[in-house]
Amino acid sequence: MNSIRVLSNGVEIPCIGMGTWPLNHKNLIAAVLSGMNCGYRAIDGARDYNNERCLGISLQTVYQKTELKRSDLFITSKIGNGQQIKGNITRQIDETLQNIKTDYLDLWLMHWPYPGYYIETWKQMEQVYLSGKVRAIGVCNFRERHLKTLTEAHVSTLPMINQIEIHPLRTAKEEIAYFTSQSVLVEAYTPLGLMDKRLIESETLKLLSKSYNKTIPQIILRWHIQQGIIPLPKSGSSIRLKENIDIFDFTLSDDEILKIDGLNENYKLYPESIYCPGY
Amino acid sequence: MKITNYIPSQYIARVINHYFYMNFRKKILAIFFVSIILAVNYLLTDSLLICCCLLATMALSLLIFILVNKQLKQTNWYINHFIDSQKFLRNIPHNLEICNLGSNPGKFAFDYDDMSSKGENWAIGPQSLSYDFRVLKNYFSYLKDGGIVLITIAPLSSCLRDYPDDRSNAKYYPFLDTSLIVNYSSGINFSYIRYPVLSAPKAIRYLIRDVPPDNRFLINTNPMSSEEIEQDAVNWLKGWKNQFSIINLNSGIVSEENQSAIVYNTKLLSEMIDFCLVRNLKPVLVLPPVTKELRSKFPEIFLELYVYSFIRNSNTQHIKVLDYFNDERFIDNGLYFNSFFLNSKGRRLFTNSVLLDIKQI
Repeated sequence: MNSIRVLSNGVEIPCIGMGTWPLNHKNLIAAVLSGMNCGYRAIDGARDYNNERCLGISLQTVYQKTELKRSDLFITSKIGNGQQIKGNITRQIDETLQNIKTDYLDLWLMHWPYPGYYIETWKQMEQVYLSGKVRAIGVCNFRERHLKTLTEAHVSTLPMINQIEIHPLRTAKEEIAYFTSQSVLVEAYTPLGLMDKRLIESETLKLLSKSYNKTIPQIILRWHIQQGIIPLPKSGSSIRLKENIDIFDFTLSDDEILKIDGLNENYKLYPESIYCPGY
Repeated sequence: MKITNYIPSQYIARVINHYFYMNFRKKILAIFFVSIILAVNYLLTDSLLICCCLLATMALSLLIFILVNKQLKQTNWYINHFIDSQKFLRNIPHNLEICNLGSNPGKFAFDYDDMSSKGENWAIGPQSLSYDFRVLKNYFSYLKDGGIVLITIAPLSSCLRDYPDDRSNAKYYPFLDTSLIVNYSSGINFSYIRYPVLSAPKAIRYLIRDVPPDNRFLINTNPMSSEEIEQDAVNWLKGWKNQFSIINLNSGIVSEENQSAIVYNTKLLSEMIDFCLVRNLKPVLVLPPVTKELRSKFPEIFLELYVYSFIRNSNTQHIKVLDYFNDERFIDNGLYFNSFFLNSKGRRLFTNSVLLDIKQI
């Protein structure tokens, strides 16, 4: 299994990353250091996580305590709704770079398609992309209708990534198929579905866990990877971080993937309209 | 009103605990604030003892303030103000099959408990169509793909714009996104929601003698006699005539102001319908029933001008309209708790009928 995926502009991205929400301060520094020691190279942050500065400090710690350099890492951040409303998108990237203490981002995402603002935001994000301050740009929580609206607005660059909520309780098959057909890579937030009771108690997952001698989260993350989705699991525990990336020594069969797909209830742990009214 | 025994030491512990959870900037500000008070006191009194006494008095006053405020928020007076918020603050079920919007007529028309469809009543009373839309914008993701949105239309929905007094929007503060609240003000949030004792100091009297709880939702009979229902219908009509400056319901004339509101709401309703359709939701317009006493007060010409033409002009997408305004099944006054609103018995009968009628769509 290739541990690298390639975005539509040729930029390479690790096939698994670590999430950072809602970690902060000491937790985040320890988690990032631990994650990098475990082998993670992609890290996913956001302005709205209120930990961007702390992420910067965490990464400085990583550079100091390991042999890793900035170029070894794939750093993502996101522009929030508040910044979209302010409208000074090109200035926002400078603030993010300053917070993360870096010269460039590997990926800059629009956190939500905020109604009335997201087209203009995207146009300004394109300018930032052309300036070289970010190697790739993308979106989060986009549906087919949002991408179509962007296309109709005659933007010059299409998103390279769409980060959405995917886990066995919400498989989002149609969305994945649509975005993949548009050469938009799909990332999964909350990839473990917050280990909802329905997942922990699922006979399908229990059985797979037993037969591969892997934990249920490992089975779920493997299910993501084999579908070409980039999962972004979050954990503050070094044991869990290590466990979450130890998924490259087994392969689920097509039939087993279908069985996990069967757990789908289209259940959104984060109903979009709560975070983005009018979504 | 619930009376609880409070131990001041618990509050002091809570304040200290709160201090440790403050962010760095707030901690510094708190230390700075206390230091300033100490310094000013010391300069004014030149006595450390008096200074400490003043500080202790201030701390005690603050404690009393917090205590009174907390108790006030537990009164029926406060709870009644925000009674409609509760349904949004508890865990809303995901993948709902149906929801309804609306003002009081919608609020008292639907009850999905133990019904065949998983639904939520998102109506809030009183409310404009514009706020129906805001509630929908904020909560529609709880509906499943293809979920049904019942948009309740009352006889004068077409004329109602947002209330001009921003304080009347305070009821939305606990559950609606700030971007959706007209003229949202953190001041109103602070003084009306978090510290009501600041905005309504006179309300402290409710700590001693509270108002009764709003339990209109629990009424299952009509406590009014026929004469009282008739009088209630007259009162409603009088109120609306006053509110919308309508002199004669039979005149066939719509004032310029009402005409402008109808145009505004027509556009809004049309946008709501489009909003639902784009998101793969199924909007349905519903006119709930009223008692025959109230129904008889509305001449056909009025209903045509204010209700039916409004619906026709908004409904360019030709969505389903369920009109129960004249429905014989709901003619029994025992299904209402006044002349206008269904009681719990009527509500269940009506919800069941709507769900059955929707299945036939």
